[in-house]
Amino acid sequence: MSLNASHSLTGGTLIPPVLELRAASKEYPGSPPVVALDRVDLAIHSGELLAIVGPSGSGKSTLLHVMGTLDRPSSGQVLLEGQDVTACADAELSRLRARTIGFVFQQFFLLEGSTALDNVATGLLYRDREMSTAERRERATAALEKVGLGHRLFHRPGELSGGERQRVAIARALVGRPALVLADEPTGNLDSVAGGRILDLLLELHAGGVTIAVITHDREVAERLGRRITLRDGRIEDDLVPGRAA
Amino acid sequence: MRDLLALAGGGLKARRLRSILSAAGIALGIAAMVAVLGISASSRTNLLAQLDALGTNLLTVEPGQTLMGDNASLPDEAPGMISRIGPVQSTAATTRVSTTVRRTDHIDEAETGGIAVRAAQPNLLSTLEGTMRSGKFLDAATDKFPTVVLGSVAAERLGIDRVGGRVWLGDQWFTVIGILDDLPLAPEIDRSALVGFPVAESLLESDGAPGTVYLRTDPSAVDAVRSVLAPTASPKHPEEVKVSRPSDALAARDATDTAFTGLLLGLGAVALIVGGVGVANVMVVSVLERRPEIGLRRALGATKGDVRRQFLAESLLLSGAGGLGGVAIGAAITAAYAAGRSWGVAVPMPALAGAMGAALLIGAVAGLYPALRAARLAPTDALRT
Repeated sequence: MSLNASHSLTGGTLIPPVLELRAASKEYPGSPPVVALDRVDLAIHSGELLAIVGPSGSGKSTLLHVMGTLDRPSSGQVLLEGQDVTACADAELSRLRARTIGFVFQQFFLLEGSTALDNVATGLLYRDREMSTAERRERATAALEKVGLGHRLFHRPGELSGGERQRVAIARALVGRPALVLADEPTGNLDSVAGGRILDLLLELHAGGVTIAVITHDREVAERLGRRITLRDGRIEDDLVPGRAA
Repeated sequence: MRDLLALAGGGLKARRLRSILSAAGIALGIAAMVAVLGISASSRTNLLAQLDALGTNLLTVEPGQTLMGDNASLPDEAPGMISRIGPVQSTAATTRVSTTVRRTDHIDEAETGGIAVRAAQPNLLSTLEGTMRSGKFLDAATDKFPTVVLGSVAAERLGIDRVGGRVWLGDQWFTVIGILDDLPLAPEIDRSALVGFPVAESLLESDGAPGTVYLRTDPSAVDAVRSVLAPTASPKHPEEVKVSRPSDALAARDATDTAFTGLLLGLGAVALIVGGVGVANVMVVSVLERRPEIGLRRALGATKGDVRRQFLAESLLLSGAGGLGGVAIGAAITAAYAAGRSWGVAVPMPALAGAMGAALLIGAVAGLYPALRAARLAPTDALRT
């Protein structure tokens, strides 16, 4: 096939990957320089559910930041939905990030003074600047109902359990219908029961068509997900796709 | 814009106590400035109203000094000549009588209490447009007898609060027949005991030569009358005549107030700057504390500009709220002060606008550095906890 190998052909239409890294490297200055990412090639297609695993220090956080366009690679390229964003200005990159990527963090990062509803509505604040507050709240309500928190709309983070907080954060990531949800150790701050439920929720969302990449050091978590990418010393050591031989 | 305000308001509400305290710093400075400006404006308005009520058409003619430095005197005909100037509406002569007035003859002669004895013509009251606190003024009947009318200060110092009593004047008893209200345009009369010219000449050895002559003119001809007064009063020695307008002295008080106002305004400005430093401090701490929030917002797609605007808006909201509070407090102080002195309240609008402008400017300056710092923060650093 003469087409770029990273593109998939669906129903005769060429669809670029949601996110693609081409030989992306990240070096931090020092003597000697620290190589956090070493020529990583990675493509994530729409509808995928994948885990990026690796021990601490393997470059997971750096990979997450580069994938999420929060940081720029020292060399190589980052493409969002086929568009090379490596050289984009900060404002343009922020705009693309608002539309394309939803983040879920280990520490939840909820605004303590705001209700669950307003926390989720904040997910739309920078995405569509013309949208009215009423409409943002309406969509936030729908997103919270989708993660099973329809009865907790007006609770503040302090009044919610850890699992519920992470659900609020997931709703916030989903409310803008991003092409890709990046979850960084989403169960890292939760007990095993709450963590298991969060994984159930992610699987359920994936079944509903959401593309999700989970970064984790937890092999048990990774095993419940689909494609598994193993990172070691800034390099992709392994890329296991279920149903396909390694 | 509404989103930005809601965002800034939410940020401040989350740190309520700290926000209130730092806004209070701004409020104090603004309140001080508004109160100083308000009180001085109220005072000026009051003064102008007072001048308006008293009239600026009262003139006085007094003997000055001769070229040799001796005390000059007005010719006996001076009051009559002055009253014949066309626009002059009324004239009243007074003169100092060199004697003392005391409560009783047991009090030492040296203790005059600063009260002068003056002979006055019966129409002095109408010329000064004065009013009686009690009793009656001198008239054609009483000015031939040992009767006295006391100025307000004189009555107070002599301890006399109603008519009918007696005071020791010269070396005999005089009956008090009237007490005057305050005369803002003739404070020297407030401190005087007034007797009639006939009695001054018969009992107090006065020569009856006119001293100070008070006159009212047509308000539109004050300057014209003023220029001819000296030659009319003393055609031979016009240079020995002192002409003045008492309302000018009142108006001059306004100028001294202005200098004091400048000093107080400076103090208010210092308070305001201290308040601004407080706001800057709160904003810097806020940026440090809210790194995760900044990182999250960047992850959600906020640009550097969004972050900068958010923190700047918070600072402006903080100082704006402080400014509004300060304007309210300053206006309340002005109102209370003016009420205490039974003045009308006048808070100048430009001062209010200026105060709000100063508060917002301070907020912008105080918030600029923290906002730039927040915006410069790399998202990856902000998210690292």
